[in-house]
Amino acid sequence: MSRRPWLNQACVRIVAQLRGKPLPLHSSGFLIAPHIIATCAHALSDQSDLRLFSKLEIEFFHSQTFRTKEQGEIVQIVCDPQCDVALILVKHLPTELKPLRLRAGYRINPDFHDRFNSYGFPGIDPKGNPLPLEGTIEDMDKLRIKPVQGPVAGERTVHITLTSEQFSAGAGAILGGCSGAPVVIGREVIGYIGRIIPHPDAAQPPHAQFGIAYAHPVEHILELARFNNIALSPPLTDKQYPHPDDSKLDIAYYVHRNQEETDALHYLSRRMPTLVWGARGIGKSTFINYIKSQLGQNIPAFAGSTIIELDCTRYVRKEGTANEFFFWMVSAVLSALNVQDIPSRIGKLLKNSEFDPIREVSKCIESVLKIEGKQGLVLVLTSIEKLYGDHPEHLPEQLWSLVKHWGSMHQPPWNQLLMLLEVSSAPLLMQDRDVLPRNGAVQISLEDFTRAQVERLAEHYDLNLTDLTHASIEDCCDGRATLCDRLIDLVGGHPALLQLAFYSAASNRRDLDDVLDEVLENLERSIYSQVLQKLDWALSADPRLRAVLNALLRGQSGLSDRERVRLEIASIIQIRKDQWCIRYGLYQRYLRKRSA
Amino acid sequence: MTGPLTFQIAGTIGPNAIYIERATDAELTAMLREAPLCHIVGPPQIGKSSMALHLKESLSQTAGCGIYLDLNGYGTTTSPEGSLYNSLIFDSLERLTDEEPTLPPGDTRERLMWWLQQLDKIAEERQVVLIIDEFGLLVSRSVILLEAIAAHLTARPAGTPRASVLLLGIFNIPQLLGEPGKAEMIRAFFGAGGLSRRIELVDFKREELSPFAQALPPSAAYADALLDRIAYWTSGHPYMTQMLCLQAAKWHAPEADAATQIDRLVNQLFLVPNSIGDPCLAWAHKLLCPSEGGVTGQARRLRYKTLLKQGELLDDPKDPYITDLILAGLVVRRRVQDQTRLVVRNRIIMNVFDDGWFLRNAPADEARSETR
Repeated sequence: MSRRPWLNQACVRIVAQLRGKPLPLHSSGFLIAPHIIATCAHALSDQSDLRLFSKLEIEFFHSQTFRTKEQGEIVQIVCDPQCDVALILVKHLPTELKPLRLRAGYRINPDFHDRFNSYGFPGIDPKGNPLPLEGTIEDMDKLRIKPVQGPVAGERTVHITLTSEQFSAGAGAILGGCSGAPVVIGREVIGYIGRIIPHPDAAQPPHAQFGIAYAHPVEHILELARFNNIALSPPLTDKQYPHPDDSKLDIAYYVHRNQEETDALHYLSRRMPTLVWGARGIGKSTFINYIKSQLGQNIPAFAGSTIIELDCTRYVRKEGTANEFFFWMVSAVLSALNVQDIPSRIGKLLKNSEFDPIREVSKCIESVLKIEGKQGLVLVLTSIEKLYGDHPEHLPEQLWSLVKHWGSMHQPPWNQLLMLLEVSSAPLLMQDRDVLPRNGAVQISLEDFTRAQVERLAEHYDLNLTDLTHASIEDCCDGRATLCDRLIDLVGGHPALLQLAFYSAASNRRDLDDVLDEVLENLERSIYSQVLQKLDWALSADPRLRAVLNALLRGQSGLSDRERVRLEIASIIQIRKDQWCIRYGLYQRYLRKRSA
Repeated sequence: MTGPLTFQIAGTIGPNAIYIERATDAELTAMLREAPLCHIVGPPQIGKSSMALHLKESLSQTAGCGIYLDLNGYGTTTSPEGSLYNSLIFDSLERLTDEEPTLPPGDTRERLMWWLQQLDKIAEERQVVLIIDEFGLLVSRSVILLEAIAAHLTARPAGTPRASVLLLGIFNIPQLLGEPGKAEMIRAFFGAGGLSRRIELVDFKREELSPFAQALPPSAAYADALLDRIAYWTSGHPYMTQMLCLQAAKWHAPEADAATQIDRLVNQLFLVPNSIGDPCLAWAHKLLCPSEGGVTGQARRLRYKTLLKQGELLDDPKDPYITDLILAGLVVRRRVQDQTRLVVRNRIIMNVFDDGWFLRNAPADEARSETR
């Protein structure tokens, strides 16, 4: 099952064969209204007359398992080959199918490096099984390529460029059939896949194994519907539960971590730079979002302050100097504050050779604080771990130095600056370089949820974990284990893993016990399939890690610091009773199965 | 001062933080009147920067002037040397005079000489102390500043008023003595009888901790008992002491006797096996287990292990690995009669970096040979 059931339930497989043609075309589509499917025109050979087709099938995979298919009855096709868009009107569809929401305007102002998800049906699979896809919205100019033009892609189309590890040049053929699959950011469709081609620089590192795809924007769908007077129904009215990938905090779903919140707000009220760290999925972003929302209330001097969040994953330059990162940082700050003439200011920083560039960065921030910082400026720097590894050698060291420096200046205008930082891992464990956060930042460590917090999170999904489970749990010798016991036995108190289970149960109105049964019956096809797939990729890339984990399964140790970093960041291992061990039952079961 | 008192557990001392004067504060003030150059070398989080800022504040109250240059704010590893020193010269003079300084023409060495002369000129009217924090970042790159200071002191007639320089940081002097091109200058400054006077920054004594009691609930007697137990564990280590105080300050009512409460807290903050996420212990862990491996880590571990077994060790100021242990914060010097001895810094360190730690972290062959 997909970890996004709302996505896979809305996606369809299309098989279309024109009369006189020897082979059918396989493609994908998605529901945009209770009775309307959107896809590419070329998926239907640019035809709209139903009589021209010898075969035209629409298959839904709406059930909890992939195998249950539903056919819809097609009543009409409208199509615009120039924009490579088609709408298929269908009746007799299962009522529980929920259309996807469309988000217009993305092509005008794309956010490069946004992560997208898609769900297509590769034609090469005779069973027509679906394939979840994910990747990144890419800057076409940066890729130094021109948009594909021509009859297949649609002459009038403005493309959105996508890259994904799954669009590998070698596997490009497999992806045939994904035309028409939705491109989703968050929970909204911003376009649909039009064409997948090998990456033009495929022979050149670092993109040797990557390909690109072009998506058409949703505006084509909206224009075609408008032109044909087809009404698209309003979005879903059912209760929408938050998915773990939804980073935007809905305060109604937040589970408090009282001690950590108190500490963070205490430190920030004393203007100490505050570093939040913990494994992936542990809830750092949500925690930071909550703290941000509480700043004004708890630190009156910062009521109405400007909060600028800089995500280091967006700084992806692997070449260049450490200084360039700081110029990027200043540029982002100025841009967020709508300061005019940014290129000129940054240019001065770059060209002023008389003074130290890092000192100039501080001067620039100081001038911003003097002008803009009357209400306070909160700088939130996230995913700092991304600056370790491939980036210039001195970058992390210089960053921690600057954090200490800025945090140590208590006089105006520096007293108008707060710094909130986020990193995935114990700072110690970043052993790639001998760089530690200097003692300029106080640290808040986020751990797994406690049992009470797990139950609280479940309540947000309208689930009651005190119910007894029908499964037997080893640790519960009286045989009266609750759902909470069963869940903790499987995924501990890991917020993201818990949320996946809760989301699946709540969104599909299913019994949590059944969801967990499915997980245990078939780990690879469960709600945790992508989580486990990522683990598998990591282990395939580094056989030593696999050996280390197998040793841990046998109760042996022998982890190097570097291995510990990677596995702890990914929340695969933890220390318990002075011994490193596999963190959750989920991973233990999966690794045992793999090693067997 | 506004707002409740607080403890400083990171960075330099901020508003409302409690500053505790140590005997070293007075020693430093006196020393800077006599000597043109002093240095404080030590591990992170023992209060070097806070002491320097306190000194700066004290100087301003006596019509003197302290200029604090924090090298964390400069591109010491990334920027060209010329532009780095231009910035230091400009920033220091800007804080001393109302006018925007104009840097003279010439190369970096000439500008540095000019800078020191300007500072001396101002020192004719009032006491000037130039404080350079994180000096280790400069000296690991070159000794050009030391050369300029040496030349300046030689050229300056004895007895004339002059600015003093205080260098703070984490730098391994015996190791620098082994670096070609630096050894001579390092010896001239930091060797026995060198130009710079070493100030030993020692941890808080128990009796010095009393000001912290004012921020600890719920009663003076209980706060005193808390501080007794905190001192038992930390031996006055500034960061560890304040970290424990900060957490203890959250207790509204005692749940148990002070010792039990603090023992629990120590266990929770420092002694659990993954507590090496604590920055202070992380630093020590890293120096004992450098990622590059090899003989350096082994030599450090060997000395520490010996010290752990014997309880104390005679100091050898020329041994770079012993200096590493001191800079790691694992070990402190103790004067016993006419000898300087090394001891493990406190009970927390002793409990974290114990035999079990060696078994878990030292390479397997090293751990085996130790157990044989």
